[in-house]
Amino acid sequence: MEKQRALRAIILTELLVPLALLLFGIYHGVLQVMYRAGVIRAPSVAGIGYYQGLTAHGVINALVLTTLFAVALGHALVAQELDLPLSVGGAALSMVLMLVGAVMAAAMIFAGKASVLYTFYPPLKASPIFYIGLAVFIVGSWIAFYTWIPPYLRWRKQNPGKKTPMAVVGIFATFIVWQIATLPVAFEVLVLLVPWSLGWTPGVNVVLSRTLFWFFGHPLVYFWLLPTYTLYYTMLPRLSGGKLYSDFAGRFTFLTFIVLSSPLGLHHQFADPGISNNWKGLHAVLTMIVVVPSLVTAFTLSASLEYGARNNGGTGLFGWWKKLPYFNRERWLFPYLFCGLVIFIFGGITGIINASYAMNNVVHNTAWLPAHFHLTVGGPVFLGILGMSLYLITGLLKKPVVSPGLALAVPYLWMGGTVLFSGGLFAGGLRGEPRRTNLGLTYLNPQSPSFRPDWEITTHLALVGGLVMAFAILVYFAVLILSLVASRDVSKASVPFSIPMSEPYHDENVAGVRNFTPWVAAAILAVVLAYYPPLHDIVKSHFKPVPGYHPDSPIVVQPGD
Amino acid sequence: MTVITNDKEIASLDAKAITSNEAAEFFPKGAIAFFVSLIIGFAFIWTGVYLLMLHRQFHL
Amino acid sequence: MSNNQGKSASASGIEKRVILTAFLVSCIGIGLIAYSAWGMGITVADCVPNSKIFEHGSVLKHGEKNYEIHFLASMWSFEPSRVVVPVGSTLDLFVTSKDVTHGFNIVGTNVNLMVEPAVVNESRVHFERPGIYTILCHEYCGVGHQAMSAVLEVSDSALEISAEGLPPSEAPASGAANSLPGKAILDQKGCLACHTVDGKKGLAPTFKGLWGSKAELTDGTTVTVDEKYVEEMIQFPGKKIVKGFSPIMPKLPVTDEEIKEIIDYLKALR
Repeated sequence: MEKQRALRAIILTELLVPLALLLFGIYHGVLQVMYRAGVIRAPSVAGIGYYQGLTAHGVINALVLTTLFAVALGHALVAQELDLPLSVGGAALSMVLMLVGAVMAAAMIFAGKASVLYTFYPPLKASPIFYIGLAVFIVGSWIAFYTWIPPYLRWRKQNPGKKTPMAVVGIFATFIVWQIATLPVAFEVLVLLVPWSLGWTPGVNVVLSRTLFWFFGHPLVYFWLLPTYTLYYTMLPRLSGGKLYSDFAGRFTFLTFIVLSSPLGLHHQFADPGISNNWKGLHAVLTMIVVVPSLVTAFTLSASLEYGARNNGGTGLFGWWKKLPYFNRERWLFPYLFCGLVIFIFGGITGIINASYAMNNVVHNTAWLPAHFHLTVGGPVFLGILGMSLYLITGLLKKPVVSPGLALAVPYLWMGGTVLFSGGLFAGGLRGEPRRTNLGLTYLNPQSPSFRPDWEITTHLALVGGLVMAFAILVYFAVLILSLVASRDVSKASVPFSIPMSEPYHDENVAGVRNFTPWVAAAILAVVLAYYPPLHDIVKSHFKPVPGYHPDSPIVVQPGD
Repeated sequence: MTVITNDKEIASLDAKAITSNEAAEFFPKGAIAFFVSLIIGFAFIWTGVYLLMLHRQFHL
Repeated sequence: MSNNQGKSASASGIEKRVILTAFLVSCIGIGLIAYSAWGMGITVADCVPNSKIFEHGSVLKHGEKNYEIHFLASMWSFEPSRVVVPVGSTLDLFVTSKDVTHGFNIVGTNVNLMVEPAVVNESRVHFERPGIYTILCHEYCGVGHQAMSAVLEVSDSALEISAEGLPPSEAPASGAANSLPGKAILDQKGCLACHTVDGKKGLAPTFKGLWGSKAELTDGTTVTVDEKYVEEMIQFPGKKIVKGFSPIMPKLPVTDEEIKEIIDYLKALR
C-alpha cells in the first residue's frame, strides 16, 4: 500500500468525505431526539424539515458512510495482505462514481425534493435525480470490488495451497454479500422507480417494490457488519495481546454469511399485506439460523480475548476480563472494537426478537426499532468505522493521534449514550411510541389533543442519551481535526504503515472453508429457493400500479410534475 | 516471526503470546462461561417479549 | 505458525460444539414460535386472497359481538376515525390505503399492520375488558403523519358497534353550500384532507363558521378571516398560521377565479 500513493489518496478521500458529511448526520440525530421529546414543537428548524432531516440522517449515516468506509477498508486490507498492486484507475473510477452519486442524492435531499427517508417506499415519490444518484453510488461500490478480484486470482496462482489471508476472506465475503444484495434494489430503482419518477410509467407496483427493497435491506445489515467482523477476526486478538482462538471459526463465519445474508428479507415485511404467511414463516426460520455465525463469533472472540488476558495475568472464570487493555493509550483502538461488541449483545438479541415471526407484532414500527439498530449499525459498525478511520487516516498521513486518551474515551462515552438512548426508545416502543414520527407536534405536545404524557419520560431519556452520543462525536472530531493539523509524527514516518494482523492459536485445516465457490453457489441457490415463491406470487397477483405522491400534499402527482 | 509495527507494546505482547504457546494447551473455560451466560441472558429477554406477545393476544 | 494436527482436532471440536449449541438454541426458538403460530393462532399478516379494494371506511355486524370494520387510511386520517364496540367483541379488521403506505397499530395489542394502496391487510382482535385504544399510523406518510390517529373504545355500556368519521350515506344537511363550485375546487385540490367542513377539528382550521371570524395567530396577533386573509393563505401558506396548528399547508396553484369560488363557498358555510 505504501507503494501506491494514488491509492492512498483515494482511501483517504473515501474516509474523510463521509466523516465530513457525518457532522450533518449527527446534527440531525440530535435534532430528532429534541423533536421527539417535545423540546422542539415545529415541523422544521433552520429550514430543514423533520422528515427531510431524517432522510439525510439515514442516507448519510447508514448508506454513504458505511459504504465508502467498506470500500476504503477493502482497498487498504487487500493491498496489504495480497501485497500486489491494485488497479488505481478502477479505484479512482469507483470513487468518482460514489462521490457523484452521493452528491446527487444529497443535493435532492437538501433541496427538499427527496423527503422519503432512506427506505424511499413508493408511492411516496422523490426526484428522479435522487434515485439515479443512489444507483450511481451503488455501481461505484461494485467497481471497487471488481478491482480486487484479478489480483486475488493472481495471488491464488502464485501461492498454491496457502490460506487466503483472513482479512481478504472477510472483505470478499462483505462484497459478495453486497453484490447479491444490490441486484434486487438496482432493479427496483432503475426499472420500477426511475421511469415512474420521470413520468414515463403511470404507476408503481408497491408490493413488488417493497419486496425487492427488503430483499436488499436485510443483507445490507451484513454489508454493514462484516467489515467490523473483519476487524474483529484480524486486529482485535492482537490488540488485546492474544491470538485468534480458531482460524476455522473466522472462515466459517464469513462463508456462512455469504449463504445466509440474503434469503430472509421477508422478516422486514411480516406486517405487509399481499405476501403469504408460508413465505414469511420460511424466512423467519432462516433468520433464526443466521444467528449461528454471530454466536460462533461471540464465542471465538471471547476465547481470543481470554487467551490474551490470561497471558496478561488474568485468572478465574470471569476475573480475566479485568486484564484487557481498556484504558491503554498505546492501544486506543481496542475500546472501539470492544465497546462495539458489548453494545452488539443487546443489538443482537433485539434483532432476534424482531425476526421472531409474530413477536414482531409487539415491536414493529415502534421506537423499539431505532433502539435496536442504533445498537447494531450504531454500535459495532459505527465504532469500527470511527476507530479504524482514525487509525487509517493518521497512519497513512503519518500524523500522531493527538490525545490518545481522548480518542479512547470516545467509545465509552458513545456506549454510555446508547444505553440511555436505546433504553428510552425500547421502553417507549413497548408503550406504543411510533418511529419515524415528529412526536413534538402532536403526541409530545401538551397542547395537542393527541398528547401522550406516558411517553414523556421515555423520550426524555432518549434525549439525554442522544446528547451524550453527540458529545462523544464532538470529542472524536476534536481528536481527528487536531491530529490532521498536527505536524508529522517522526516515528511513524520512518516505518511503513501497516495494519497489524493477529496470529491464529488454532490454525485448523478444514477443507470446506478454503474456497469461495461452493458457498457462493449455495448462496445463489438459497436466494432462488427463498425468493422465487413470494416473487412468483406477487407477479401472479397483478397488484394494480399506483401513482405517486409528494410528501407535502395528498394530491396525486401528475406525470410531468 | 518478524513483524513490522509502529507499536512496540504490541510487539512485546506478541513475544509473550509466542512463548506461552509452548506451555500448556489453552482451554477457553472463560469463553465457555461467557457463552453460556449469553445464551441464558438472551433466553430471558426473548422469553419476556414472547410472554408480552401472549399477554397482548389473550388478555385484552 | 505450523499446523498441529492434534490441536486442530480439539479446537474444531470445541468450535463444532459451539456451532451445534447455537443451532440447537435456534431450533428451540423456532419451536416456540411454531407453537405460538399453530397451537395458539398467533400469526403475522397473511395474504388476503380475492379481497375487494374498498374505497370507504365501513362497519358491519356479523353477529352478536362479531364485527367487521373496514378502515380506509389516507393522508392523513383514518376512516372511521372513532369506533366504539361492546366488551366481549371480536373484530375482523380490514385496512387499505387511498394513497401512500401507512401504518395501523392499535397500541397495546398485537394488531400491527402495514396499510398499502391496491391491496388489503387483515387482522382479528378480541376484547374482553373495557378500554380506550389509540390506533396510530406508524409509517411515514408525509407532512401530516404525526397527526394521523384514530380511537377504538371498548365499552361496557355500549350495546352495539358505532363509528364516527365515516363518509355520509345520504346528502348532508348543508345541501345548498355543497353544490357550489367552490366546494368541488377545495375537494379536487386536496384542501379537505386537512380542513373539515362540519366543525370537527382536523389538521387545519375547519371551514364551518370560519368566514368573518376572528382568528388568533401563532405570533399573537389577531386577524379577521376576510378576502385578503384567504388570498394570503393560498398564495403564502406558511405566513399567517392560526394558533394551535402547524405550518404544513402546501403551496398549490389556484387561479383568481377559483379563489373567488372558494370565498363564495366559505361565505355559505358561515
